[in-house]
Amino acid sequence: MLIGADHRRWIVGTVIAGLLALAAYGLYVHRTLHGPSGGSWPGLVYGAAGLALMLYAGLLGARRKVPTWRVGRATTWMKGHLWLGLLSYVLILFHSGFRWGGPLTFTLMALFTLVLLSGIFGVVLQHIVPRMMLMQLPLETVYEQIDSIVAQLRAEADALVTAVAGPLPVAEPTRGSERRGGGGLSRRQVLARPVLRAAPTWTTALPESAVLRDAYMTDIRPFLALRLPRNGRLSSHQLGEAVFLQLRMELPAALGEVVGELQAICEERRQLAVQVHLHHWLHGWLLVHVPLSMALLLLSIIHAVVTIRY
Amino acid sequence: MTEPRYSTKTRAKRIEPEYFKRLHPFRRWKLILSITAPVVAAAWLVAYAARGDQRLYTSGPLSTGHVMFGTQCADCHGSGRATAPGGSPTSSFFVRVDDRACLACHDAPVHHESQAFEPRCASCHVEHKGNVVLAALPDAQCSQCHADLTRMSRTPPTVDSRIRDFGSSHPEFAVAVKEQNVVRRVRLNRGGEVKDLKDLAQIKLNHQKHLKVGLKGLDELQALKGPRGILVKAGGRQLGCAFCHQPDASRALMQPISYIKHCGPGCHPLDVDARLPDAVAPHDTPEIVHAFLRTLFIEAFEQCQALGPPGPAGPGADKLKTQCRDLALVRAASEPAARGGRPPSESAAEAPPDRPRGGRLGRPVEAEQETTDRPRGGRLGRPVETEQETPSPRAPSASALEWASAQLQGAERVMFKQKCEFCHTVSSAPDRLPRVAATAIPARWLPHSVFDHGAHRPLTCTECHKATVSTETTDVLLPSIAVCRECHRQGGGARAGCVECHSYHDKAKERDPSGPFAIPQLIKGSRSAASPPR
Repeated sequence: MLIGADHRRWIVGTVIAGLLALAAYGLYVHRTLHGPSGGSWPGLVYGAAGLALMLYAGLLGARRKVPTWRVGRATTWMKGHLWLGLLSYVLILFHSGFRWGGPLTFTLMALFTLVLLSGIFGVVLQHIVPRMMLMQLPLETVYEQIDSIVAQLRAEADALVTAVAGPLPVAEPTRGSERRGGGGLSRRQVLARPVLRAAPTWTTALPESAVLRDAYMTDIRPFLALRLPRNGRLSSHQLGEAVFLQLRMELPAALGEVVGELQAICEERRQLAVQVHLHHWLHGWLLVHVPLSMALLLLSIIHAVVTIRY
Repeated sequence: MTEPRYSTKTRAKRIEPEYFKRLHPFRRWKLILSITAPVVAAAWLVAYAARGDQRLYTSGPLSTGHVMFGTQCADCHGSGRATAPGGSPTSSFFVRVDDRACLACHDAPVHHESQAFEPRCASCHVEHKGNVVLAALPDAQCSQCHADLTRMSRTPPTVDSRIRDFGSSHPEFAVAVKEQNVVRRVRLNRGGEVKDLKDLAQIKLNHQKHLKVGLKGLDELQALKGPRGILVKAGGRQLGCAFCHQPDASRALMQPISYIKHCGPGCHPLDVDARLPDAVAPHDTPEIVHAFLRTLFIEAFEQCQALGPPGPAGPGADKLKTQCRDLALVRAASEPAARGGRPPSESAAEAPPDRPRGGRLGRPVEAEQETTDRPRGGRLGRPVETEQETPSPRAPSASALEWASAQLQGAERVMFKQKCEFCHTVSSAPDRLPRVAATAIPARWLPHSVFDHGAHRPLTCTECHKATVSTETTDVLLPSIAVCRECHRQGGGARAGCVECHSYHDKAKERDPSGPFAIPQLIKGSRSAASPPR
């Protein structure tokens, strides 16, 4: 979610609430003899308000699980999650009197700080990464389908090279390992452009196609695997251009279109690899933010119950 | 940019229609971690609960003295286990620390009989703030009453009624002075009379003279007592303050000045008579001194009487003969020894020469130390009956008494007038022994507070006590509060809190140190013994 003009009311509300809480805190600290304490009445009020906002922020996950709930728009929930979650941290700081306390409260504050920082990190990434993907990845696809599409790209490339250079020394993919695409794609059906007017067979293959075959098996096909080689030359756009330029020079002009198609396939594979990388940045913080939030909420509730007892 | 290889329709065909129904590894890990993290947190709590340890839930570290009670909240919260047999407090929530839980171990004598209210223990001594001293309270805790004592005290205040802090509103220090035979405490800044203030001390000591560089006799003093307290300056040796003013075991207060340790015999010996070079009078009451001198002369007479022509030979005998000659007792020495003289073997001349005759000088030093806060010097004013001398087993002869009485008048005149009165205030009257006034040097000058000399040891003594310009003991050397405020001030100075000098609970009223618990009770927290009533 981008923080734009539509967040203005939330920002103003959060700032006003924070300032009011700060003023009340200053008055409270000035009047108390022994400094602020979470167990005093003002401290308990801050703690209760902070916990309530934390619970609200935590409900965003539940709201997302059940999108059909008619409890406000998802964007409103997200704005509340952002700004009220931030406000809750301020209130909890006032509740604690800026002290870390004992083991449980120390853990709570550490968790809360990590959750807050990871959340802020996520918001910052939300402003950067999607724009990068829009600019750099025109062939972006559904993240969860990247492996499936890579397999399709490899099948297309196999078909192209097999047609002009004969059978490839690779194992036939098993049926279970191939996933079917949408729209009724049949098995081993590829969607490559019809670059070959008449489907050649290996018996009609040009003798020079052996160069293509070697290059395909050495550089191109490993690049179309699910796991990319660490130092593959095709991972870089510039190096990839050089590799295919060299290939064009070594091959006859009749195979130019095949080489071009292979280059397009590799470019798409490269973009999908970049998409995976950026996707991990864009959503990886959730692996910290969400689990720690769960632990934070559980411990906060237990802390509230036990400390109210004493 | 590469030319798109597919149309949108073709691209859509590549997407599996129900891909979202399968959990992608990324989402799967998110789910797993979201379950694992709370489970680990819960396991942490369960592990502590299984050990019966509730330290996890503390809002902060306990103070050092209470660390052993940290495992069970109920040990202190509520009334402790003292009144809850089951170990659980009676209330379910907001179980505060009851005073009975504190008083089970502590005693807290009331601050003042006329105080308007009695605060809860925990309202002043706030726990769970770490290794803090629980008695170190903020000034606001004290000033809630002392800022307006006329309103907060049930009786008219006997101290300054408007004190908020040390820096601005604390009154000037006071000393006890005697005005028109009435002793009362007067503040040092009273109406410009600071210079005229004279305290109650009844001893004649010139600090200025004693602190003079190159003071006569310091070399001998150092040879006799060692170098402690004697400074070496450019102009010679100087008596340091610490030679006489030595801290007690706590390093906070100063020990009383003692004649034995600090004045004599190295500097001010109580030698009796040049004719009796070994005789040194005891530093005691006039009655004791009188008895000592009388015995001394009778013994001298009888020793000389016992000296016959064939008397013993040797250095001791020669010395005795010389002494007898000086005492004009040589002629008498030719008389028969059967007139009541003692055998020469019992003579003082054969006693170890370094053993003082008065006996007091041979006492252990510790015997001189006074431990109470009463003014010093009272010993000199005590009745004679307290130091009854053992009666002599044999009455002296009449001639001995006659001769001793004649010698005694002159010797006592010298002793009381020149020796005692040199330092003490002595009052004389005809037909009775003189009376020596008690020194009346206060053991503590600030009775309502505690000053720690040990904490101030980086400072030279004369920085606060202007002894170098004092010529009389009655000069008030107690520094003004302004001197304290040079260091003890808000914002960068030494601490200036009330509790630095004052104590809320009167420790003198505390109960005996024997408490109600056995070790297992204290360790396990099952303090089932009845808590003492407040």
